[in-house]
Amino acid sequence: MNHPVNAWHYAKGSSRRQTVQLSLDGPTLLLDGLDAPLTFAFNDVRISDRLSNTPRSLEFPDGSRCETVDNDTLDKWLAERGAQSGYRLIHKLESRMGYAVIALLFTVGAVWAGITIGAPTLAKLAAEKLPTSVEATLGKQTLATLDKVYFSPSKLDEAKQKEVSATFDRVNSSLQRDKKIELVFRHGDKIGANALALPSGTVVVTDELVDLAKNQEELFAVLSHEAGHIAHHHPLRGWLQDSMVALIVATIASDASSLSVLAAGLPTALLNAKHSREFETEADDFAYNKMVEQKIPLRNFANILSRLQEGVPDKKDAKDETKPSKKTDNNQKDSGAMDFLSSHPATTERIKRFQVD
Amino acid sequence: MPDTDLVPPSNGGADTPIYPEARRELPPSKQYPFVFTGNATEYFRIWIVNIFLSIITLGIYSAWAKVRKLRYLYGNTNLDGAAFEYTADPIKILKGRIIAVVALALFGSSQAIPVLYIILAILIFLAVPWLVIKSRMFNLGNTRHRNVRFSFSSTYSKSANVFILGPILSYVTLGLGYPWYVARKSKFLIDNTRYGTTPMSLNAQTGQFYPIFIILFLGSFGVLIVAGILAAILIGGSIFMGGAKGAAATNIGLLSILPIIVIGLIYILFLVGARSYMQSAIGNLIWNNASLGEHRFQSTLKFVDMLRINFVNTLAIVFSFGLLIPWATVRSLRYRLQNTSLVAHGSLDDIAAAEEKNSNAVGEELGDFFNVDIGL
Repeated sequence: MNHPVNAWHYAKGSSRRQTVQLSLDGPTLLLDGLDAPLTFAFNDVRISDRLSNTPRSLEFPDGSRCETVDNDTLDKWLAERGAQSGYRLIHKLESRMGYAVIALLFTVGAVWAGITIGAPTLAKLAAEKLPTSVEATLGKQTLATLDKVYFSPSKLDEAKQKEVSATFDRVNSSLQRDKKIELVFRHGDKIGANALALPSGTVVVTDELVDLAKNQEELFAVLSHEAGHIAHHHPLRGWLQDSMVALIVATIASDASSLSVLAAGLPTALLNAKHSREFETEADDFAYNKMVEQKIPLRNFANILSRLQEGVPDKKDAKDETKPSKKTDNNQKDSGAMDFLSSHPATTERIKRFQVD
Repeated sequence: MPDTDLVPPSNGGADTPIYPEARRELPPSKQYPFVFTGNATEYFRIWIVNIFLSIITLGIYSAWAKVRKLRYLYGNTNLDGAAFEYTADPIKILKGRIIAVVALALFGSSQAIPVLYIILAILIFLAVPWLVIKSRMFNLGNTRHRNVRFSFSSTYSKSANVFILGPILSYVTLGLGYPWYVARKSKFLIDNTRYGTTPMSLNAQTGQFYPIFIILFLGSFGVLIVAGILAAILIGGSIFMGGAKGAAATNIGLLSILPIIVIGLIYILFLVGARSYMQSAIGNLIWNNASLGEHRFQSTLKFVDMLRINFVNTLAIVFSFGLLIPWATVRSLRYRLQNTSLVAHGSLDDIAAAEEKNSNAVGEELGDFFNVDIGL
């Protein structure tokens, strides 16, 4: 009742092949076509599991082997003899387009959820659980790197530095942290007027920003925004999130070698924009509350932000300036620093929020 | 499942390879092309089920996924009517992966202690020659064609002469030593490979690698200059036209995006071009000079074809958010295989299997995770 299966037979340790016919007779497997017919108990034959229509191998107890592409008949024999393996189910999943579509939908959903909810939530949890000392160690190198590449020592006189430090003490005053946020002064050079939050729990303020501020209350606004980044562990969270997303993308795209790097860049970039907006809003909330708490008029935040924004287009018109400043942003991202002016798409919105007096 | 006890040890040494005699008068040659019979739809289904099952098993299935993927690709690669077989045990790969993940996590967290980090980084660098050998042993040992397995064997010091000396020399000579490194690497990987008892060898000279890198260097330089001029014209043009149009804001938006798209495409073309050139030129050089016993190989890859395939693949992957990866894989593999053939002198029937060695996947997986480059 079974039609024979055409196969190639290899003697033990030999690449010489011979055509044979296999047939099943009850519990016995018959091999025809060699000098003398061979028989084996079907249950003693090791049959590789099915994968698409690739050839399967049958390993016999005497060390010889057969190869065949007649997968359907083999499956029938296995079913008849009750010798099916669990791989049958995987083969079933792999052989219908409907299952593939379900797997695809699930994968897209899982990856999307992992990137938008899983990674940020995990990163937030981890960043809050990690002791501040660990965070500080991880970010130790950042300031050194920035010093080497962008900053020069501050040119502010001591009196001015003391005045700004006193303002910053007010930001620190009611903070629930095991370690105070540190303020350092640098000359901005290429970066110009700006303030940065570093993973080590340090806020950097450039001389240019101190000069740009009309009063200490404006500085308070900017510095409390940066302190907000640190209080919410944004640098560490951003770094953790990026790493997790990169891991997810790399796992899925592992087939495509270096080509996938290009494809992986796209979702990561979109996501970065989204996260940095969330981080900015959180830091703005922090600044808002701080200003209300310290009874500093909110308008100060709006004032210095719009003055900073006015400064930006000037710089971008000069072509030479555009490239280095863009590079600056990227490098700061890599080093985990949160900078006051990068990736703030809705600056006008933010200004509006603080124009309530 | 691979059964490593199938071939008794005595069999390996008994049949000495026949090639020393055969070399004196070569039998008439016959050309066997490699034929790839897989298709993108089938491979897509396997690929997406692999990802799906890997996600719901929290990564554990990834070891089985790797095996199924390679079984499909090998199983659809035919030579002289017989397919290749990938016989790795997923459990071994899973064990290797767990060890690799732990090692990578330890290495990553050692960054907090710079001294430890540097010591570990040096240790990993020193482990590369060992990882290469282990990885090749595992991969080739699990590759079977016509009942005969491939194998790889070498010593740490020989491997270190390539994988420690090569990178250092390339670095010290500011890249001048790099072609030498690539030549040595290719020779090391092929010369220590056997198919059954029959050894492979690579007869290409180091001097043959240098012209390829010189052309690559000059070509890249030329492309960059042309791209620079083009970019300047486009940006200049768009600013000029944007200015002329004045207040038509939407047009300005479109015009200012156009040069970015064009420059982006040129950049991708440039990267893909360099890669395609290396694939075709190095691929041809290696396979046209490689031999398996008295048999030879022939490789007829063309840069233009390779470039077209890789460029379209890259765009397809980017714009499908990765969904066309299986299609791209199949497409590129089919082209490369159909341009490779074995020129056999005498019968392929007489290759004897060698003694099998049991190998584990730790080196292979560690090598994967630390991104050790052993590709040919």
